[in-house]
Formats: sequence, structure tokens, C-alpha cells
Amino acid sequence: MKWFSERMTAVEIEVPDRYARRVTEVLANDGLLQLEDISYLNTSKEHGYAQDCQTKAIQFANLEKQLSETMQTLKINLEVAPDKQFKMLSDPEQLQPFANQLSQEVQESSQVISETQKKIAHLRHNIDLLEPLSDVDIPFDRIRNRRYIFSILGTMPSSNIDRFKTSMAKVPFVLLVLKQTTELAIVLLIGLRQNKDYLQRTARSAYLSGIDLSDTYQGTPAQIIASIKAEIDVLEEQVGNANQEVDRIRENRSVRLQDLYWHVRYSRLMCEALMRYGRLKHGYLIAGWLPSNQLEVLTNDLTAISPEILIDIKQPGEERDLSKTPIVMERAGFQQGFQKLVTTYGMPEYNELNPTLLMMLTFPVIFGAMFGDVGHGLILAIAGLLLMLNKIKKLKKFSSLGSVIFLCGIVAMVFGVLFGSIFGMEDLIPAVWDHPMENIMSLLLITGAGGALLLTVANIMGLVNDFHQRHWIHFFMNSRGLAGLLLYWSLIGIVLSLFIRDFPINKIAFVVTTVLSIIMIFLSGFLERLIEKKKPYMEGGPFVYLIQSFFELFETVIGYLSNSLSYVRIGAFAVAHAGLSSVFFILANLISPTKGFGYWLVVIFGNIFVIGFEGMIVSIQTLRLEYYEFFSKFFSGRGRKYLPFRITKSNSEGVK
Amino acid sequence: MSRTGVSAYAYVYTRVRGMIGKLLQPAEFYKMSNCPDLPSLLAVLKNTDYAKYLENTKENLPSSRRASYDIHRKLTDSYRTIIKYAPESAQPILDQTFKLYELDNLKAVLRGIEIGENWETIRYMLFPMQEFQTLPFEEMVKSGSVERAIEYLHASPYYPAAVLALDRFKEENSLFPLEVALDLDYWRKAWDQVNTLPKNERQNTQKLIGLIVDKNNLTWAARYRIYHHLSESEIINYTLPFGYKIDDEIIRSIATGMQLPELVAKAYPSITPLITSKEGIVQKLPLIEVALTRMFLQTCRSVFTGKAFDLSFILAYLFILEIELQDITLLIEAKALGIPPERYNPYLINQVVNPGKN
Repeated sequence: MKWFSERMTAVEIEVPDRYARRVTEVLANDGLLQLEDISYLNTSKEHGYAQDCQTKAIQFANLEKQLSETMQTLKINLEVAPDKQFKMLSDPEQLQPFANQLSQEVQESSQVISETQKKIAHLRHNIDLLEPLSDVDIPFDRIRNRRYIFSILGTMPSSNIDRFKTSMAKVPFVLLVLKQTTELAIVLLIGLRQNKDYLQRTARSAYLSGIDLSDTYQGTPAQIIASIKAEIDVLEEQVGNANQEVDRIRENRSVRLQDLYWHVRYSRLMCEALMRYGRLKHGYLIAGWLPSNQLEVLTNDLTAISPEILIDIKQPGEERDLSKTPIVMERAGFQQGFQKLVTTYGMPEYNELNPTLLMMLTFPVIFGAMFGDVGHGLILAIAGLLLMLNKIKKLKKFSSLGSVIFLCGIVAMVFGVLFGSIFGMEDLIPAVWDHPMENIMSLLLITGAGGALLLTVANIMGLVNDFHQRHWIHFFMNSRGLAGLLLYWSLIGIVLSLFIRDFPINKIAFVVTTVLSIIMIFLSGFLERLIEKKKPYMEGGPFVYLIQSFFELFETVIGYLSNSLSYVRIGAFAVAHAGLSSVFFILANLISPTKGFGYWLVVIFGNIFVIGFEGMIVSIQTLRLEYYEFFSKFFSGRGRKYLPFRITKSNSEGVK
Repeated sequence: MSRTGVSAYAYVYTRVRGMIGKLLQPAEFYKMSNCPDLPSLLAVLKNTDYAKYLENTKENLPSSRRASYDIHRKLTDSYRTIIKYAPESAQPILDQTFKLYELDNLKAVLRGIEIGENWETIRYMLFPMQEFQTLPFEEMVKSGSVERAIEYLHASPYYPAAVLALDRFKEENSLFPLEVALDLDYWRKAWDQVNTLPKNERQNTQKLIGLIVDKNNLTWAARYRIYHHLSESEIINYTLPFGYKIDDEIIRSIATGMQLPELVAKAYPSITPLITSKEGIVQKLPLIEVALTRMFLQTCRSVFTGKAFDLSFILAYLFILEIELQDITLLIEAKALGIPPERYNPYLINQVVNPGKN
């Protein structure tokens, strides 16, 4: 893992017309270049080119869709590509007649199948509706049409039945549920004919759908069912014949169809890549990013095609009209968990320090200080190790966090030795430093000092970023630059010289540096605009500038103060950890003063509780200190990840 | 047995805490509201967590629809992260909650087909489901008819409800019965999911989901009466029999013509002052919706300060983010159309606060 992203190079490749396709294939197979869309650079003269690419891409996409539909109807596997090199096809229109002929052949049979199946489904639905009434030995027509009674036989969503009954509170009705599944119910709604309109409207609103049976069906429900069944037999025979035809087509055409489909798909993806190119008079302009150390590979591959291909190399900052430089996120191995914690906050920008290594150092130390216990740390370290080695299958997706938990556990053990604590027992091993509960104030002061140190480190990291980006005004005069750091330490110096007798440095010196740093911060905005020649040099006039600078300074001082105090929580949690552990020992003593079974049960339960509950609280606090107090001083997290252009042979992936 | 409570939610809780920190602040809403036009609003957004979603949006040639589509990807990303790390017991309800956007897309697609729009116009009106999209919307639009489009839903959870309402669509030539059936089916399933949650998580989640159902029931009932002139029994059938505070008695009162503000005030006394304007019910309805959503936002925020380790914490964040996006979309549309702040500010859910006055 490096402090800064791998060096990136922007390239602009000029490709004569005749090599464009070959170059695109090489780029796709190398998978090195992150393509930038520069088609917007095309003038109206070259607009035809972009349209041409787009037209071809659409034609290929339509062809791909048509072929995939045909293949799906024929039940040919779309997911597996034949094991061969694909070439970009030049003219989608040439393939159209074959695709049309094939889909027509398939469609004729499949249309017969689908329409006949729809009819069968409708008839079966009617049988389902009539079946509950099959024992009723009177003509169906007489059930439907009575003089004083109105009825609807039909289906209704089962979930609507209760609601329907609630809605019908104002008229008399009977709802017979003849048959019911979880989804649907067959019901017979009976009411007075005089309420017919009301019943119909309410039934409609409950999605009660009445039977659709033509008057040609006569007789009792059982007789109607028999005649519908005979009709279904005839229709099923028609479906069988159509299916045989589909099988025959599949047998004859499947190999050619699959081969063609993948060529078309490849061609479509290539066209989409071409659409991102800029058009020159006799060629194309391709722009993108790649790691500088891969430049030679790409250059060799492209010049092998033709020496006429020109590669213009630009360093970050020199490129024109390209989006932000992407950064390469390395495969982090052991540091992966820490990298994840960093990217959860944001992606480092190019030329911005990647804080993963710092996170790896500071996170376990902050956590360990709050969770100092040899036993608890050991349990965490073992758990982390098991996660890292993928030994806990159910938690496999968290395996990357194994290293974080492991290191936190190890550092917690170290602090456990310093605090003399093992599984919450404070008297088993001597404290190399001191027991947290016995010297609370000094612990809080030391952690506060540690916080000041971490904030200083964060400020220095900000300076490193400014230095790296040659942002000199920020470096020297910004509230987060050298001036801010000077102000912070001058204020600390003033406080120390006030409270410590015989402090070696005179407080006047600190007052002078404080005033100096304040002046620098006040002038930073003005100087920045002056150097960049941005007018007016003081936005809103001198008065507004002064007021604004004053509040910014005020915010800086308050920020430093609150951030420093925030770190005192490290000490507070160390005390809380020891305190919480001791509570369980007091409870254990109350339950079993003779240290019997109950005593150890409470101790074990207490330790599990402390590891689980407090472990989680402490990790959240650690994360908070990292994100809000530490990162915010130097890390913007507004970078973008390097995603090279690559074409894969899987249906789920495409152009990246 | 699946884990619940503190240990199950520890990791996802940490992630969500991080996400909460990236929600927009009142000062940022103030800045956006005071932008003179859409490009300057997008410039403000590019200094926030939305920057990465607007990388390809050209400030000099912005399309409000495209920008709105792009920023909604943040919600999808949040769901992706949360679903990945949430405990097993929470997965079904999170899946179901996310499906609401798919349902909205489905309804938009059906409306698009009905008025004969093409796919290029419809696609950026949809919520960006990304890899979570299960429905072939493009094919549905290209099929050219609602009936054929519904066939594409065959293997989806929407099919049973859609197919049952299809006959009515054909008879009435209106999407109304289809949309109502899909909505009712969706919320019934959501409520069933909530009721299967472990007891300790159910109560808080029921409150959040129940408040959404309440808002839907109230506004649906009012619209059915005002715009569709439906009878009491029909309104009952087109609303839901559950929720947090709104019951059938209130729904019946709306159906019989009782004033909506009074009924809302009866259920939620805290929002009374917001809806006592003198306009007619048609003008009041959007304001009542805003008031109900603001109360919902308040409830979601209160989850962060209470007992944290359960599903409601995650849902509260997701709902707040959704409301934030709703507000940004409103601002984007308003700026694109040149509407002055005094006309759209009453409809923003997040209050626009001048940081200088605090």
C-alpha cells in the first residue's frame, strides 16, 4: 500500500480510420485504458461520425435483441459464449435478412402456441369457477338470472374479502366463498336486484371479476364443464404440433445462431466504445487514463498495429477537458479491511494522500486504548484471525474486516498489560503503567495530549497534500496549513504556560506566534486571489472580508478546541471499560460470595457482554474519531476509481 | 436462528451513521434555494456528497430530468450497502421497501405506454434501480400496449395483482384500477413483512411504515372523493385496513364529506397549525401532504436520538434520504422552470434556513 496513488498518465491516441477497429479490439483485450468520452469535442462537421457509430450501435442492439428473443423461444443458452475470438462485424444490415427469416419461422409457431395457450388458460379458468357448483343440478342460466335476486359468480383476491365485507356495511348481501387459495378466492355474491348498481360498483372496486361465459354454453354446471374439457383437448393437440416444429428449427439452427449472436453482441459493445472517441479529419482521437507503468505495454501493442498511430502522453494537470484523474486502488491484502473503512468515507483524490496506512496505525491504537484488557484483546485477536482465514463460513462476507479486528485485539492486549487488566480482573497481573480507575485525571490528560498529537499529525498530512499539489498559499497561510498549526500550538503553549509553574518558554513568545498566525490566516484569502489574479481581491469589500475572516478564524479555534476535547473520550472509555468489568465482579460477588458456580457464570456472561456490547460502542467511537476529527483535516474523499475499458465474454458484463 | 438486536446491527449501524453525516444540512438547502438557475444549483450540489453522481452532468447544458435521475443513484447505492450488511431478519422488509421504487417505475412505464411515449423519454423519468432492476422496462415500453407489457411481469411479484386488474383496465380504458391494485398489493405485502419481524423490532418499524400508510390512506381517500367522486364503499375498498393512527372511521368520514384538515388534526394534533389556510380543499391537499411528510421526517429524525440498534434506524435514514432527494428534485425542476422561491418553498419538506440568522 502506497501513500499516494500510482502515477497516472493521460493519453490521447490519434488513429487513422483504417486502424480504428483493430485499435479498439486491442484496447478492449488489454483492459488498461480508462476511456473518457470526448465525443462532445466533435464539430458539427464530424457529427456524422458519432451518428454513424450510434446508428450502428442501435442496429447491432436491435439485431442482438431479435436474435436473443429467437434463441429464448428456441430455448438455446444465451449465457455461454463459444470458445473463440470474436471479430467486429462491419455491416449489421447484411445479417438482417437471416435474422428476419429465422425469427419469422420461429414466430409463426410460437404465436400459434401462445395464442392457443391463452385460450386454454381462459377455458380452464372457467372450469375452476364452475367446479364448486358442479353438484348443483340446475341449469347455470337459472343461477345467474333471478327476478328479485342479483348474483355474481367470479374471482376475487383473497386479501380483498374482509375489506369488501367492511365496505358493504350499508346494504344486505351474502358472500359465499366457494373455494379459496392464499392468492385468489372463487366467490358467489348474492344481493337484492334493486341494489344491483351498488353491488356491481362495490364488487368492481374489490376486484371481483365475474365469469366470462358465452350463452352458447348451456346446461348444468357439470355439463358445461364437460363441453369445455372437450374443447381444451382439441386445442392441446394444436399446441403439440406447433412444439414439434420449434424442436425441428432448434436442431437445424442452434450452432449458427449462437455464433452469430455473440459476434453481434461483441460488435455492439465495440460500437459503443467507438462512440466515445473524438473524430478527426482522417481518423479518430481516443482519450483516457492508465497507470504510467503500463504505458509501455499499451504503446507497444498499438505501434505493433501501425507506426501511423500517434500517442500523445500528458501528465495529470496537462490534459485538456478530461474529468478528474482516476486513482488505482491496489489489492490491499492484509490492509483490505482498513482500506474499506477509508473508502466508506470516500475515495482519495489523485495527488491526495491515501490515509489507509495511517488508519492502520491509529485505528487499533485508539481502539486498544479504550478497550485495554489482555483477555478481551485475545478473544478479539482470535476472532479476527478466524475471520481472516475464512474459518467462520457464515461471516465470510466480513472476512476483510478480520485484519482490523485482529490488530485491534493485539493492541488491546498491549494496553491490557499497561493497565494490568485481564478479563476485567485488575489484580491478577501488575499494571505496567496504572489502573485506569485509580488515576482517572492523568489518564484523561494523557489521552487529551494524544489527541493533540493526532490532530497535529492530521495537520501535517494536510501540509503534505498541499506540498504535493504545490498549493503554497494553503501550505503556509491557511487555517489548516502551517499558520493553523502554529496557531494551535501557540494556544496550547499559552494554556501550558498559564498552568505549569516554571514553564521553560515565556508566554509572550506564544502570544507573538498566535498574533502572527492570525495575521497569516486573515491574509490567506486575499493573497490567494491576488496570486491567481482573481478580482476583486477581497470579495464583498474589505469590511465583509474582515468579518468573514474573523468568523472563519473563530470557527477554526472552536474546531481545534472541540476536536481536541473529543479525544478525551479515549480516556473516558478506558475508565468505563474497567468500570463496567468491575460491575460484573460486584454482581458475581453478590450472587455467590463463595465464588461458586453462580459467580463464574456472571463473570463469563459479563465478559461476553463487555466484549460484544462495549466492543461495538468503542469501535463506533474510534470510527467517529477517525472520520470526523482526523480525516476532515486532510482528506477530501472526492476521488474516482480507475475502471479500465474491457470487454468480457459474459452476458452480465460489458463495456466498463 | 437469525441474529437480531445490537450484535446483528453493529456493522450496518456504523455504516449508516457515516451516511447520516453526509445528508444535506439546512444551510445547503438555503444555498440551493437561493441559486439563480439550474447550473448554479448543480454547482452547489457538486460540493456535496452528490458530486460523484453529477460528474457527467454538464453544467452549461444541464437537463433537469437527467440531473434528477443521476442524484437518485445515491439512494440505490445506500440500499445496496445497507442490504449487503443488514441482518437476515431485516432483509425482506428492506427488499420490499426498495421495491416501492420499482413499483413507481412500473406505474410510470404503464403511464408512458398509455400516452405513447418512447423509451428514450421514459427512461430518465424512472428511478435508477441499476442492478436491482428485475423488470424489463425497455421491452415493456417497446411492446406498445399495456396488455402486452403486463405479460412481461409474468414471473414478478406484481403479476397476480396486475393480471386481476387487467380486465378492468380493458373495460374502463383507464390505468386507475391497475395502479390502485398494484399499490394495495404492495402495501399489504409490506405490512405483512413488518408483522413477521421479531417483536423487539416490530413496534418501531410498524410506526414508520404505518405513518406512510396513514399518509397514503388520507390522500388517496381525499383524491377518490374529490377527483373520482367515488362512493363510501368504493373508497373503503381502495384504501388499506391498517396504518398507525388512521382507521376506517376516518376514511368513512372523508368519504361522507367531512373536512380533511379537521380529520388530520384529530389524528395528529401537532400538525394543525400548518394546515389551517383558507384555500379550498383542492389547494389544501398538497399542503396537507407536505405537513404529513414533515411530521414523518420529524419522526424519522427522532429515531436517531432514541434506542438505535434495530431496523427502524436504517429505515429512518433511507426515508430521510428519499425526502432529501424529493426536495432536491423539486428545487431542480423549479430552477429549470425559473419558478421563484416563494412559490416552491412551502412545498419543500426540509425547511430552508438562512444560516446567517441562526
